[in-house]
Amino acid sequence: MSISVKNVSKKFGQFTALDKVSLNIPDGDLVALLGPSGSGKTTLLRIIAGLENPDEGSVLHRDEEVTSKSAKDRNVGFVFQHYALFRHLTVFDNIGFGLSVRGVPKEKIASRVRELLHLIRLEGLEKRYPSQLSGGQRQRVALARALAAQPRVLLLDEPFGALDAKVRLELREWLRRLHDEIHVTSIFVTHDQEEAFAVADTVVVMRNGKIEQIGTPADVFENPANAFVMDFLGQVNVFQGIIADGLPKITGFSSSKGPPEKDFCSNTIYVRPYELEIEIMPSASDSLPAKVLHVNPAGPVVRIHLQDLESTSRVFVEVNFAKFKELGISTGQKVFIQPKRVRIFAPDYMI
Amino acid sequence: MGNKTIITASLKKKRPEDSEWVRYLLTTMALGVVFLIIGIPVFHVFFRAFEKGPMVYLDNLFGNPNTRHSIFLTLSIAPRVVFLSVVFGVSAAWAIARFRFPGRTILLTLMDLPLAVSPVVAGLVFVLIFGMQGWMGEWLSANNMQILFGTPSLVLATCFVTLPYVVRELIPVLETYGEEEELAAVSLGANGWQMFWRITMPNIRLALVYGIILCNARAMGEFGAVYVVSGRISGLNDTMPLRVEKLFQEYDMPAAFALASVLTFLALVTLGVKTYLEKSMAHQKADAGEST
Repeated sequence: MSISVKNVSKKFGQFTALDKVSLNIPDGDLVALLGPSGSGKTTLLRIIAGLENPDEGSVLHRDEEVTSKSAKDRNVGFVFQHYALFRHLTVFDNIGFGLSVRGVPKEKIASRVRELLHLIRLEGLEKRYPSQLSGGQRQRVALARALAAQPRVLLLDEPFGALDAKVRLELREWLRRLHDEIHVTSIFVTHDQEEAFAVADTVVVMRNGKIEQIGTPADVFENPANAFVMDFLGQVNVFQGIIADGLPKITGFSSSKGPPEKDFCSNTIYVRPYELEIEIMPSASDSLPAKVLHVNPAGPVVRIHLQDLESTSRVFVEVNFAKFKELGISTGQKVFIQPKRVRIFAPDYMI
Repeated sequence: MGNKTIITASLKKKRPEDSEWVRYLLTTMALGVVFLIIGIPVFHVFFRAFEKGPMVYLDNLFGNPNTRHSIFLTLSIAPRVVFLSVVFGVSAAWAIARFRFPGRTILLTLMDLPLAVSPVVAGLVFVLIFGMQGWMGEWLSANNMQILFGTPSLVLATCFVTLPYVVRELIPVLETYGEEEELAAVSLGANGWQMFWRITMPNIRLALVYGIILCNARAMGEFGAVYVVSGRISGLNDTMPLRVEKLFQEYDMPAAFALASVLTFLALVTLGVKTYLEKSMAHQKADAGEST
């Protein structure tokens, strides 16, 4: 089922959690709400679920206005960050709760619960209590519980936040596969960009109660709308440069001869670590001299920390292992760097 | 209150800096004081009650219609007070733990007033409200209703005194469990009633029973507030504690002690149940801690 959020605002006292947010989610999509803490992503999710009321704006499930409906009547499945399993009920009764409160006959509940236990691969654990399960098992029970009454939309609040790294990876792949199987429109909240990229069809990047960008993971990563999105989605090097003849030129602070001309939109240049080239000899007159500070050659990608000799700021470069072998660089060596691709944004945000 | 057991557990560990004699001295003092001012009197109550044999004891309790009535009156007031306390306590604790509203802190503070103020004052307040010279006195007598010197005033005064017990037990439990499970229930389609009975109630059950026990013990033993509002007419509005005092004033010691022994016995049962519940609650808390 498609979901629309129109001009939704929410304040908690003086704090603005959401500021006129609008969002359309097509049927069957798996969406990640991504942003730092305090960006309003969880509030938005809770408003879609009906666990929170917006101060302004409306929420539509398909074309039906549900803003004033309570969570109980919206038929959403909600998975809480800390699972919120009913501690006094068994796994079986937890999963069956949504059906039981709707007055579904016992035999039907039993068969549905068994079906879900199979889906979450926890057959045989139905008599356990939540306290007797591991974190990953609890999360799966929470998911099965949310799915039991066949919700029209599945909402997950930081679903893997409380799990350790390995279980987290397993579960997010499992969630992706599960979504491919059951195709229920799903929205999950995360502050982990890697997780959002690994699982979601669409990523919604939020900051300070506003949506900064919506797009596919590739789109958002390759074409960030602004400096915040660029910075939030991965490591980035920031250079103070000048723009001459419409082309950015990186120079250090120390060598900049006076303030940049006012006509240019910004003199701050953003470069991803893997979009910087290391050269032993300068390939162009504007190659930046730098000193190698530290090399981390573990894995297929070698991470190199450099010091920009002009501005003395640190630069972080990623090269593949073959290239690293070919360059044969070592700590303390003087090299040159040249960007393959740079990005310049309107100056509303400073890293 | 469940954490008492945890505290004693951590004290059991012998701390090296305390010398032997300090430990023995303090322990002996504690035990001595408890024995002197609690142990001996309790023993004495039962000793004096049964001094002349069980037949006399039973006759003292059930032979006198006024004493019989006082037992009946107390046993009929206590459940009503407990019922009112539970209804009020659960609603108030819920409101305080789950909502943020203006006056919340004031409500929380006022809830403790009955613990701080002398019960006699509470009784007097009811006399001032419902008495013939009180605010509502004329209206009440004009409408042929009597509150003072009857069971209604006994229930009211006892309610005032016992009000904090259930609330104070429930608030911390409701706050510890938080509202996530309740929200989960609502998101799964439960209505308010289903949420309360299926999710909230099982979580607060032990604390509620604990509060009821304390409330009931206080209700049966209440003297001060009841003394003021009761007419003290034997066989009509004398509760057990009032009757004990009256028998004592009339130098009917065996009867006074017999009735006192019933009160003491009820108190001991209360303590037993309370201790059992505290253990269960500590267990439950440990389980809850594990699952978060």
